[in-house]
Amino acid sequence: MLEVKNLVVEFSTGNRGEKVHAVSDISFIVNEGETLGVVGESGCGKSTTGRAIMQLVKSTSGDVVFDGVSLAGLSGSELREVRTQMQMIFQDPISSLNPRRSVRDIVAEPLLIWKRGTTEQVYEKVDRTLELVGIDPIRAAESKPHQFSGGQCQRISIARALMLDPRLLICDEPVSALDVSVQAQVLNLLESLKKQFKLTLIFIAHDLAVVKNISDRVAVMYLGRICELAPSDAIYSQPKHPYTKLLIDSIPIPDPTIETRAIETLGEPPSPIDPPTGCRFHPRCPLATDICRSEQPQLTETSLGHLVACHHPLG
Amino acid sequence: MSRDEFLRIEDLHTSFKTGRGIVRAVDGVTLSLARGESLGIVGESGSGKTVLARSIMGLLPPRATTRTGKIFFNGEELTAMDSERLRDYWGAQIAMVFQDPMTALNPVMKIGRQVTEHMIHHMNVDRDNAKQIALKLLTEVGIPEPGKRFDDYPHQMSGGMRQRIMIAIALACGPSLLLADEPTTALDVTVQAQILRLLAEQRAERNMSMILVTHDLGVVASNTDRVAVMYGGRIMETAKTASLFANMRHPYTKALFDSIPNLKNPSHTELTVIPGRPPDLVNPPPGCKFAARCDYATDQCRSEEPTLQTDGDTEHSFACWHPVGVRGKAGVSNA
Repeated sequence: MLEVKNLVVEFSTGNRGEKVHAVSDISFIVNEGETLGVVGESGCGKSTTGRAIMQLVKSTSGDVVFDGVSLAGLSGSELREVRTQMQMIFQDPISSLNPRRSVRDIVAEPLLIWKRGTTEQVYEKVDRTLELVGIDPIRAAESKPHQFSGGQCQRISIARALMLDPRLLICDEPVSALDVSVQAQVLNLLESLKKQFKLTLIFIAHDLAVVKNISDRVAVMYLGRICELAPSDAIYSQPKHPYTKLLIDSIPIPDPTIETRAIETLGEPPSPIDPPTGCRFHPRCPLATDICRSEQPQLTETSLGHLVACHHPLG
Repeated sequence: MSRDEFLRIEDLHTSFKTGRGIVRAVDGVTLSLARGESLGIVGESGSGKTVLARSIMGLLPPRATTRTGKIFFNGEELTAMDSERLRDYWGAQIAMVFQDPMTALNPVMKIGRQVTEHMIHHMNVDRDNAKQIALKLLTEVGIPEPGKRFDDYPHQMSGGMRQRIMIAIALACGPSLLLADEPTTALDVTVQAQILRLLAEQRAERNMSMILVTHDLGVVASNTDRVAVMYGGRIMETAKTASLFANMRHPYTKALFDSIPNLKNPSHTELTVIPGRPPDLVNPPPGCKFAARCDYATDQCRSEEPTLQTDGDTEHSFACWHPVGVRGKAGVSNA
């Protein structure tokens, strides 16, 4: 359904010739009806990838193909047409809603812009969708976003994203600003809406446990590259990239009887302005050898559906 | 006050005046902490955990805040001191590490000066000696090449490095109590693991007590001796960390734990949800603050506020009329 081909996104830092290598040559596909999780730490390029798929940032090279249509070559109006099929929800639910309009109008806006139906039909659909995400339509008609909590605003964003009956929903850290009890409500809501509307999801987050729970497959990113891509249960039970293993071992487990696993201190991710040569993880990798420092490993399939970019994959 | 009660908080209430009315952010908290012990305070946004930590430190805006109750530190009553006397405690005996290392550090002051500043103030050392101590400290907290970093400004460092600097500043005068308010929440998970390990090492080495404020039950499990779970400004449950995780007695603790996605479960496992939202602390409901969201709530819960009680295990108390879990020490026989 969606194919990302050799996507590269670079930003200029303002200093002459200096560039942030946000996304460096990544390729993957998303199948109809699946949830692809994208996980990684800050600066790994996961959000930029989401935005580049939506064409919200200009890619330096590479292409995004949605339903056989290459998005890179589209004109503004063609792109707007395609974007009705793909919608995005963001991390901060309150600032992504217009503070001066009523919530019911915010949710109705996409339908009014695209002139989908009469005013009556539009608001009938708005109210139905608001009910579905657990927001009282009467309150929505008379309230502005700031009168709702963070979790409710995220529900409102989801309702708005569903208005044009999209097929692909890109969720960029949709629950990281929420408390765990509210996070669970929003995650369950996304799962049930996905079934009901036969949605395809790209779920971008830094929290591995959240990503594992919602995804069918997971892509782990590090400094602009995908280092591992596999079915979500496999990636957690048998991580093959040392970075994936480090990420999993770093998660604090809510069980005091489990000894914290000793993790070798490996410093912090380097700057994406001047990424390391070869494998970008090599300065922090306990298994790194000369080949890792000089040659960039390619993402290859080591077992069915399990792809890893490493010269010395685990297990 | 017994000798092992290094810090004792008695019936602390902290409230703020806001446009909407008085917010009772901390509403009757009693706690104690032994020397060298690590206490986790867990709760969601608005539970009062940060206000509690700041109340201990006396770091709340005096005009809009009312604080009642008593806080004893090492036998001295902090709540009876003026800010002049408190200054001898701040930074020297009680230090704090905040969530956001960017805003907590002075952006226009060199790192070195920020680390040495209160050593010079509190410990009566001269600039050169302070620098020697600071360089040693920066090495201990894992800053590579501290000599070069000494003259850097905060913006030249990563978030993890800045948090290490914050910890170095907090440790500089050898405090006996460290208040860490979400010290790793702004950091990436691999860096969080390093910072938590650093805090544990330093605590053991210095026999320092620590209050670790966090929303993350995972962080609490591996880094504390005891836990207090807060909700709506009150402590709902407190116990030794091992007992709490083995036998959760308060329905809120259990619900909070169950709503976290567990890595052990296969993907697409449905999460347990706590319906509704936290109480409005301007007009708190009568009775138990969690009653409106609780599966076990009865009329008694909605009218009468439960107080902390024990039941079999004297070190495990909970404020609930209908506790869940197992009575007594069941479930921790091997702990």
